[in-house]
Amino acid sequence: MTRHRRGAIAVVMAAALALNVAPAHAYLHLSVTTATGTTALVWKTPRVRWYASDRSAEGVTASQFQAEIAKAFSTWEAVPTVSIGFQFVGFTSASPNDEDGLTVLGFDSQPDLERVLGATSFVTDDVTGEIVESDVFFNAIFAWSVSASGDPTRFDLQSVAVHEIGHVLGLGHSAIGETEIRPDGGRRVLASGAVMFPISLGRGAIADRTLQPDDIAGASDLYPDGGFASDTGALFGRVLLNGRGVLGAHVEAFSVATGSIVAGFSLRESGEFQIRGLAPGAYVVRVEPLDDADIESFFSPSGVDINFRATFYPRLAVAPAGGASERFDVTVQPK
Amino acid sequence: MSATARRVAIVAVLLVMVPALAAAQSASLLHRIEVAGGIGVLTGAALGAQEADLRTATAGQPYRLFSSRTRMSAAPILDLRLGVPLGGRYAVEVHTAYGHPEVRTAASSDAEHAPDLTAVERLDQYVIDGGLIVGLDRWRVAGLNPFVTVGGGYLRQLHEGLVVIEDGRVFFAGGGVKHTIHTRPRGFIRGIGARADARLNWLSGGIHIDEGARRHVSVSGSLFVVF
Repeated sequence: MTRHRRGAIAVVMAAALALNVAPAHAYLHLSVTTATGTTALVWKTPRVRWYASDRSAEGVTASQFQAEIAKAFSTWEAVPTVSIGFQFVGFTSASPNDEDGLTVLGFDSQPDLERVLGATSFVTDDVTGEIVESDVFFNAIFAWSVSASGDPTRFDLQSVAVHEIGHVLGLGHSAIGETEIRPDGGRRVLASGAVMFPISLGRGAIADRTLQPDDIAGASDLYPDGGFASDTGALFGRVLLNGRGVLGAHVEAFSVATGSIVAGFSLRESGEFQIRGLAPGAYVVRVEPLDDADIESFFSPSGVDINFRATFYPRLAVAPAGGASERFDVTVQPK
Repeated sequence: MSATARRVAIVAVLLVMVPALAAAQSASLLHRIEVAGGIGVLTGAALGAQEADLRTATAGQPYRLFSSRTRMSAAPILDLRLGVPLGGRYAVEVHTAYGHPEVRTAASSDAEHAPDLTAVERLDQYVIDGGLIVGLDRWRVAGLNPFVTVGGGYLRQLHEGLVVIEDGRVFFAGGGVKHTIHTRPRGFIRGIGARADARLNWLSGGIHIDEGARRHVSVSGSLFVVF
């Protein structure tokens, strides 16, 4: 078995790391290229064994760190339609950046990454594409909080851990969110509709301890359980501009009945998209350009078109249980 | 008895006999199975509002991506009814109605200025219900036989493409009038007539956003055959 480090993905304060891991499709799912082609980045083991680094950080002991990380793992494990589980093995002095066969989460000081709160890296099997190791570091240059109600001067460790563990599962970033450009050129997040949005809600915010429908759909699609495949459906369509496919459009499915939002991207030059894991029913489909975070947060910016206006599809799209809608075309207008 | 007195008596007897015959005809029809078919309209109703809200750093203060309001449009309906007498002024009736209404969701106030738009789909909607009919004999006028009805049943809605089914319940109260156009004392078909119905329907379940029942009025006109 050949192993090698494939890349890293991060939750950031205001900017994103470039990825070496490719997106597979909606939410996003990460993927790797093997000898037989591109495959989704997933664990093949039903129970991921993880270690907590014995390093502490200012205001957070190693045991406090482990407790918060365990809560974050439990958040994902508690999703009834997700089959994967996690097991804490113990503390380790290993670094969360070592390629050692151990899945380690811990603090690490990375002053050169002054806008990165944390990052996840993978070691994958080059033949099967499965994840064999995934490490997460939390940047110790920031002040972290383990307070139950949050600390307005610190970043909530559990919230960021829930995000990073989403990456550990194989999820990429979600684009459900709104940001504004700050005077210094960075971005300030106004709101997000997924824990997997690439930009943190900021100091003191604890909302991302709780998963949102987009997160749940993405993880369930990777590790389906409890009838997920038969009980949910997909929307399938194309985004077109002047009759041609739009690459990299962000497509949101808004449930008329529940108000939940699950989204995906058009990841082919044909403009095709597929949004899976939807409760059966009617959806408002909204398409917008990928302009609320750096495109590199999601995938390679090459060919991505953001020069069109946000628009709604004029029909309600219906997701059937256990299947996909007929393909429909959403036509957008140039800016 | 004088001739004048005799004529008065005969007229009086006739006057008494005509209502008696009409009542006898009506009563005889009331004790027979009635099948009716017709068309009508089911009014629309608001299904509710849903906001596309995103989380912010401040709990309880969501960011509104856009708003949505959904309603079901009015639509023509096809009605079929089968009435079975219980005796006296009472009958039970099984009724089915089919309609093809639109569900219309208006999306507005988009944070990124997407133009407001109403997204539409068409439903196939079936109602199967049963109810009690009570004839209001005392209110009969000009050949019109009024009645009131109350009952409940099953609602089935199929989304566009017929791939998703939503189930619900219907309760109704209403009334109408029947007018017998033709009767005959014997034979397989004993009478034909026309009826008009108006009902207030409470629909629960099915495609809905807000909890609670939606009120839809239905009015229909039918031709009926009495066997």
